Amino acid sequence: MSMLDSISLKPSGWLSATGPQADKVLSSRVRLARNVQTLHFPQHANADELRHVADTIHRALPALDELKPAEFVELGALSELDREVLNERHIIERNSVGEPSEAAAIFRDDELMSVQINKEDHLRICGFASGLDLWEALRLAREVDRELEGFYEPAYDERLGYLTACPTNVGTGMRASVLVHLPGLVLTREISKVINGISQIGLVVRGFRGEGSGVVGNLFQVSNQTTLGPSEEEIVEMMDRIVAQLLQYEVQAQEVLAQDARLEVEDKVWRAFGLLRSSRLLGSKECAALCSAVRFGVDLGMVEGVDISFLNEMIELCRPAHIQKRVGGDLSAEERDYRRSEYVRSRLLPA
Amino acid sequence: MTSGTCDRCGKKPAEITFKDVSDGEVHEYHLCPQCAREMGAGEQPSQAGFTVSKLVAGIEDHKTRDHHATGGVLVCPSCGLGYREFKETGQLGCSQCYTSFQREVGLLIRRLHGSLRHGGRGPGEHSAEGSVQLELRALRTHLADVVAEEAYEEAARIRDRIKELKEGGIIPEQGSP
Repeated sequence: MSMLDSISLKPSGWLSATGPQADKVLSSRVRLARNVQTLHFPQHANADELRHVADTIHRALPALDELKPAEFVELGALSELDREVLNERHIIERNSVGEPSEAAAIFRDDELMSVQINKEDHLRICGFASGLDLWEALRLAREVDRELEGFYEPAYDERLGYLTACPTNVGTGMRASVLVHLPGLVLTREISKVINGISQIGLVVRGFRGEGSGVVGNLFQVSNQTTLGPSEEEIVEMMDRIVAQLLQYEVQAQEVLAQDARLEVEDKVWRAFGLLRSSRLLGSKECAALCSAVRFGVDLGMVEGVDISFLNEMIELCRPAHIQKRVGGDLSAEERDYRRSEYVRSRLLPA
Repeated sequence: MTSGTCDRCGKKPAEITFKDVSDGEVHEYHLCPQCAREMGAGEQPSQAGFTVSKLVAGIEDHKTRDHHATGGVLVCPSCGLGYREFKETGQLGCSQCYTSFQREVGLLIRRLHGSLRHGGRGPGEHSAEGSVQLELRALRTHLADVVAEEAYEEAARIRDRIKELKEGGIIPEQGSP
């Protein structure tokens, strides 16, 4: 069984809930955008140029010690379902400006390190960590960056730094992001105020997988907007400071709720728990919302015996492509909802 | 921050911060009320159709506009990408485009990042010492967390690793004399 065949059975390593502040921060990610100096950027490159990039990285793979054991996949050779599974696991990003040919990806078996090849940029190197741990994510991404550098000449300018296809990424080419769970701020309706405040200081907050359809599961992704000017370390320091403050606000909101509305919150949490254990049709967003409520209950000490890592896993393993991959084919929306409910029940009530 | 002039018209004061999700990234623009309305602020992001390319169009200076008005066509000699195409897609064709469209891209970069000077590391600037520093910072974050949770065995393990790294050779610790 290849790594890709078994991938939908287990969660990504960064969902293990073993990192710092893992009760409120699911994961940290650092992405470095890199391009090959002498070649056109992927959207304007010809097939030979793109093949050259993919071949260079593929040939380098045995020498990349940090990335072992790893899988190299050509996206063009994958089914739509497999591509979607990789997308749901954050190994590849959807490319809204069209998919160049010869796109590929490498990922280490624990998925804490990955490289996207020939997407918007020639290389997008990612390091992931559990919890609030951008230093570890940066360390991992930088290890891969260092090892790969021996195999190509990066597009780099002394003044502007790493040159990227879109000027939004120029400079460090670094996008650092953390995925945070903020039910307290959502329930106390403080979240908009907090998001606006954070936006004023150069960070971006958006709903997790919520583009155009609102927030899912009270999860928010916080990332840096500026990639040119500050160093990589300065960006991480700033993010660490601001996320710590954000978590402090969340704690305060939770304290207010525990004091003023404990019974209502407890009811919400246990109803969610009951639905997860009893539903026969469970939608993707509903599942995320219920897991969020139970997670909140765990956080407040109301629910015992449910592991945070289990709730993290459900966010990934209950996504539509994962469910279809596990049963080996296309399912209707209703069949997916049934399989999702079945999976959650089986995990909550082990036989 | 909404101080300064509108990113789109470059004339009226910017009063509204507008966020747009495109290419998997969030971009923020500062707009005057009229431009914000015209660009679809307040609509769902998918309907707004507001992208980097529209920001590009908004921040062209008069020299670029005069150039186009007199029939001039800006093209990158290295990859053949026309400036017009960059305006439409927000994507440059090659690293040389940064030089070919220096004025226009420079304005955009300044608007996006507030800087024109890279402050991070460059190729070949990786060192074993730098890697150790990052591991140390990660370990210290973990240590604070496990101590708060009274997980003392794990704390002892982390302390041992910190000691090992320090004794391994190396460290002029960051921030210390």
